[in-house]
Amino acid sequence: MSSDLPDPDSNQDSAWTTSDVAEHSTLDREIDNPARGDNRRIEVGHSLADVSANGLSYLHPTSLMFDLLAHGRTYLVPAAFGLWGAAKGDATLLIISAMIFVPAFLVSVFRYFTFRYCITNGQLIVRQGLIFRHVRTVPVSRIQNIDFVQNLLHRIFQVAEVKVETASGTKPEATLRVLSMSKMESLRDAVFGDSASNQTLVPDADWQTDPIQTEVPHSAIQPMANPANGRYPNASGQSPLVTPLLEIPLSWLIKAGMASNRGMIMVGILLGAYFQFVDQKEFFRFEALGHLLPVNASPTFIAVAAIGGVIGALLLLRLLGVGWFVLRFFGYQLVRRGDDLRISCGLLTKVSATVPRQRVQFISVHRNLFMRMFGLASIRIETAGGAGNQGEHATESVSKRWFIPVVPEQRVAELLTALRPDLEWDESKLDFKPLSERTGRRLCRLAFMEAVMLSAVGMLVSRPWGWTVGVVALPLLVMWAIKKSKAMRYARAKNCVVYRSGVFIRKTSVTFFEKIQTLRVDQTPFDRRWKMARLSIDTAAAGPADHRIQVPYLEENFARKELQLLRLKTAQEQPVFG
Amino acid sequence: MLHSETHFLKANLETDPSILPAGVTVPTTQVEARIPGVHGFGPETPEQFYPLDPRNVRLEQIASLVFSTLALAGVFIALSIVWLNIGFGMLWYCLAAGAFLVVTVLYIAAWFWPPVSHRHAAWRLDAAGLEIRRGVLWQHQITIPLGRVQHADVSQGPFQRMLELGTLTVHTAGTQNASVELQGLTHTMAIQLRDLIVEQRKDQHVV
Repeated sequence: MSSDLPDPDSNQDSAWTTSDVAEHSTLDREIDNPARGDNRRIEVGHSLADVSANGLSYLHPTSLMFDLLAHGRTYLVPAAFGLWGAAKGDATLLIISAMIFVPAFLVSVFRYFTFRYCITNGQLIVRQGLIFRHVRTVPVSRIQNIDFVQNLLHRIFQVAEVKVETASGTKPEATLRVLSMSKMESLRDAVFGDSASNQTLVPDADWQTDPIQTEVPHSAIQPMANPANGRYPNASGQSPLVTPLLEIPLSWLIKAGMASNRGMIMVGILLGAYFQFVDQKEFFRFEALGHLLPVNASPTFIAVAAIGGVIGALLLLRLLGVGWFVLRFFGYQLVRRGDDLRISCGLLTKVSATVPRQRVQFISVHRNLFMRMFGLASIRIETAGGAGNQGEHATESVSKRWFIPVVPEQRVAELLTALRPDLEWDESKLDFKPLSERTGRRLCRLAFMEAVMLSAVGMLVSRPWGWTVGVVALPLLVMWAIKKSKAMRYARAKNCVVYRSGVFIRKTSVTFFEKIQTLRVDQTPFDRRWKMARLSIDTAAAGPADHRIQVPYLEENFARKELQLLRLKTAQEQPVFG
Repeated sequence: MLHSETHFLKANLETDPSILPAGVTVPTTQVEARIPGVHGFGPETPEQFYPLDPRNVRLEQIASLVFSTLALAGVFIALSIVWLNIGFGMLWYCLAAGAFLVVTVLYIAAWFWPPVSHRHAAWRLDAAGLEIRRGVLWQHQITIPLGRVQHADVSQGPFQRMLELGTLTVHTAGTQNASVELQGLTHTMAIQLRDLIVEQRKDQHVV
């Protein structure tokens, strides 16, 4: 069948030494699933090579600049010093900063000229380095996500930073900084055109006749805008339909911003920056506020002004939250293309992320107090690999932490079904098992003990009436305990496990039997006294959704039975995450 | 292929617990004799679990004694530093008494605790997976479905080598329990268990 096709290796750039090629062929065979025919795979590889640029490509020329910018943050201080020195006519500082800068620049140049990538034989190959040559071969079928970020500068140059992720570890498998939009788009098509259906292979003819190979879209921000782009062949030779699932209008974002506490965080950042850069002597003087008032203001006027000021400040906080939401999620679009979910959003920095549907490990619906008032919810997901951590990439936080930042309550079920077709989501109909009936009593007793301790501390602090603290706190603590125990619920459905908890931020999470990695039941000495136990369910990449299925205060017998049951159910399912 | 095997396993789980699914094979008679769990699914009774090797008690005792001795040495050093700085006195005597009390408790615990924790540790392997119980005050029951095992390895410390014991570590793709250790098996048993687990994993076409 492939006799008329040239050997894919002949496509390689001359820069590849023969040993490199040999290395890849062996790697290919090693990684290759024995169930697949080698021959057919090479055919696909050939087509893929056509889709991407021929052979190995350099990154976009502006990469040099972006690389320098990305790594240059650490050199910002020396640069400022150098400029300062130059302004004062002091050459030594300039020379010192040049000594730091020139090598950094050279490193960037070196990195640019030694970095190449290509897609061939169904593998993404990234080659780095000259002396220590590092060749990374990522089988396309193992790629979880391809995400890209575009800030304003990227947009001026029509490029994007591309991140390729597999199931392993927390770091992206490869970061391509930066690619032109057209390259980016063809890379994504090459990867997801194949892996959207990685059980079967693509018929050759379709690849050759498909318009995608000749027509590469340039507007990748809204890749679905052009109906021609939305069509690409999948395994069955039919084009998967692009189904728009959700578009978030500005009004929802404004509501979500009002409901969120983001503004508070932004104030924190601003304050941090303020204290960082402003001299301590010019510390903000709150007394100065007094001068704003008229000289002989009546007490009522002052009170009104104070209340007005507080309300104004709170409003401002909410507005900051709104600003954050609008900046981050403006023009949010969620579409389904075949088996992939694609998100694109952002006002200044545009982000696009692709999440293969079958790789979703964990779904979590969050509703905070205000969101419940507005009838809104947000949906977070977790995929294998890339557990959310500090300083995470913008795409990561969008595709996982903020999968759907805001959605009206009544559309949650519909979207969850789009995420997972066999999920019958109806929270009211779920068979929520209550916690042990003694939970309330246990938590109340704990609250009582806390109150006693508070009283003791109060007595230490202030002698005659210190103990009243505990008395005042007791009803609040008890109320909290009851609310907390009422919020926690566990349920098992046909193919999934659901856990709900949280008083202020209500979180409802669901994971599926085939995604469960380990199960455990733990008992503290207190648990044993109350004949209770905690059931924990571990999945790959538990983290970004900020909720874990760890159900405390279950009846011990129930927890142990549930463990055995889930264990059997889990053993029957095949794990699917990559 | 993949599907039919899933069904096979399911059928076994639901109808005939005594038949082993295709994946579970017992490589040697020794293991067969010592891991009845792999024969199928019996009632969920504690009797079905297997204790660790008794030599593990001795190992734990040795390790705890070594630790206690190190603690004792630390106490001596700390006390002499205090003595050099402030000399003998009420404070020093109090400190010394407290420290030696703690070390004595450590020594006693080093001898008497391992048998207790040995009684509370158990494991089993059946077609559904590996299950481990351990902990005296804080008790844990961990289960790893065989299909979720990414890889498994066996390690051996110097004392373990002396007593021919080994530690089996099972890795999953999870996050909280990404690796689960089963310490206190005989080394050969640990290796056989590992082979069994890995072989099972292969048969299930784990990603």
